[in-house]
Amino acid sequence: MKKNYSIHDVVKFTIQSENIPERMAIEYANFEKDHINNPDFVVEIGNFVPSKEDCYIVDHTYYIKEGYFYCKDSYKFGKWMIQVSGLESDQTHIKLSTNAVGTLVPDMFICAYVIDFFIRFKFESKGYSVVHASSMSKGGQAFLFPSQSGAGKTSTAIYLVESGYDYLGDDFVILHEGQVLSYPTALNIFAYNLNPAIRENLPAYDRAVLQLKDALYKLTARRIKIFTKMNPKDIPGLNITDASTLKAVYLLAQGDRLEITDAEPDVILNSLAINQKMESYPFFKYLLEYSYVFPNSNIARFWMTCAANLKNNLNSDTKLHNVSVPRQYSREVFEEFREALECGN
Amino acid sequence: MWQLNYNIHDLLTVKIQGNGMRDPTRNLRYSYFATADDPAESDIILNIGPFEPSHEGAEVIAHKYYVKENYFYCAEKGSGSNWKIEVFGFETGKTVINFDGRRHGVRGVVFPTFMAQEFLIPFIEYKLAKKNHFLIHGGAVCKDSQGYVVTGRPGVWKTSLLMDFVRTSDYQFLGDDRIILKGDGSMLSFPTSLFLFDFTLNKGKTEERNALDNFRLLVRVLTNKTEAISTGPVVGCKTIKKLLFVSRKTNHAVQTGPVTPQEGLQRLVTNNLAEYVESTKHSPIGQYNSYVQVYSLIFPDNDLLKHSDRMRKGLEGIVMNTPIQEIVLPFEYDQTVFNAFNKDILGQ
Repeated sequence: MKKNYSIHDVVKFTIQSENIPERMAIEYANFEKDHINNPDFVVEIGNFVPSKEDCYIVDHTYYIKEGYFYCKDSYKFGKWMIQVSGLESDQTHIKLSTNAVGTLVPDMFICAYVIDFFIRFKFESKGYSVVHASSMSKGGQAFLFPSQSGAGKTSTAIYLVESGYDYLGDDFVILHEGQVLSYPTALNIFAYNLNPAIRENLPAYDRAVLQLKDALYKLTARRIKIFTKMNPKDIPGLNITDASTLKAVYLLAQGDRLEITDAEPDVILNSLAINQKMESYPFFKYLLEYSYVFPNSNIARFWMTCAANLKNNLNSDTKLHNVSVPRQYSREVFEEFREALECGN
Repeated sequence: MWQLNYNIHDLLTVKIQGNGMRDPTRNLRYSYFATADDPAESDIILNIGPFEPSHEGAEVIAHKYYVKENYFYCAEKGSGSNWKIEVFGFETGKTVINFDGRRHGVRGVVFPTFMAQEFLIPFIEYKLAKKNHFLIHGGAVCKDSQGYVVTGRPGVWKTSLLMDFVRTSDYQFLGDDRIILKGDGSMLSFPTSLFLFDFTLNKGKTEERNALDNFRLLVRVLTNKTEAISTGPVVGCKTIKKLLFVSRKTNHAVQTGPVTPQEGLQRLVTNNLAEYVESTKHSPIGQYNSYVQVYSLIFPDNDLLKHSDRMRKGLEGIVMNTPIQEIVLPFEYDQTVFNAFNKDILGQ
């Protein structure tokens, strides 16, 4: 089975696998194409034999040669084997095999750890920035809401849907020369971040499944956390727009009460850059090991390239703000935030 | 409650205190620096055992990191371990670390405080760099005030190479995991877990240990026969004759190659950083870089971020003025490797 994807005709990729599970298909459903030319990367899922000859071996774990990386890795119940060849070329080939847990929740291992990283890696290599933020737009003007996980990215986006805003993305979006490009991957829904707007529109069956997953999470002492995947298109009233001009950035952080202050560009750039690295595990480590062996490679400069991209892609007249969001992100808090947003504070 | 004091070459004092935590192997890691002096205020204090965090008023990031000025706290579950860490003086001044954590399995039982003690390394590195001493990931040996530095990523036969130096050529030992480099081209020793080096040196030909070796090591640790060190390390060494960047490949011969000073510098800095970065969560030391990043979200101008530039500036003179070389070792290590190495690289 083979699926082709194209994101804004900038980054194109192919996933090949005996079968592509639903949880994985839904993740990139909005990018699916019948046909693409010259994919930037191909991910082949299934057992494989690594080409370890003439490799540097690091820590008995990482096998590295020019343009090539191989390792076995694990986290909690998930185990995987990954081989990347053509790492520094226009056509990167990734082979990946996982244990049963990896197949059961491919979105957690295959998507979050590998495919998402390569999408961002290829965008950055072409001068685009991919930022950990939600973004919503009205009248062709976009607001960007970067934050760490759990500080209100998705909630802000969903509340704004109700206020007639168009959707660009709720987890990652793409920045290019002052424009925000949409990145509508599947929403990750868990009982604790369940926005009232979504809850009301969720069928009874889905609501029950959500409760079960929450119970499992508590029963296993917070070891097993399974998100419910939802295509943003399936949320009533949600309209995805392709691109929009970036008007203002509101950097969200958790606080005691709603508070909005002006921010310096360096603070925003620094925060976006740190977030990019923190969202790139385990590849942050993999690239670092590659950089040790090849200190003059583009890979060794990758994070500097990302920082330079951010600087280029954020227009100097974009308004920048810090926002502290209370832990209880109620409709009242949101309404206060929206007022500030709309009068350009 | 037990207490141990360490003095690192009169540059830093470290105190480790066990609170409700029995540990017969507590002194094994840093035994070389042990001292009877009990300073009123050590540069770093590590308290091991249960504690209540004082994180009120802190910014909470990603539901689990707590950051205040000069303060960091988190509680994490890794793969096969868990820990709670609170650091006062995260960035400036004296540092106090409260650590409560355990590793599952045999290692966690035999060495219950190793994980906590290992977490001291990035703090020692950072504080030493501010005093123009640069703790690098690598080992060194010395004879007649002339030394070789052997650096590289883990698992590339660094220790085996150093042991062959000691065994065959009367070199003295400065450390096989970390050493301190100084701007004037001299170095200071930083031997850790000496009992392990000593055991491996006397046991066999390479650093690899089989199940029987591990069992013998365990018996030795449990019967407290860990004091005798046949290879007393030296305090320092006046000049570095050569800086060797060692790596390991899947093929079969010793190879050598050039390294430019810029590549060497880049590798030294990356080599240190990579020790504080893990692909997935296993140990607190592997999370240290993440902790610094999280802290930097709230305090973007903090001094911890200046550390890598400090390292770069301090090490630049050393890589510029010292002969440096790349050595690629084969997949398997044996005596012929050292002989080839001896002939080609040392010219002996």
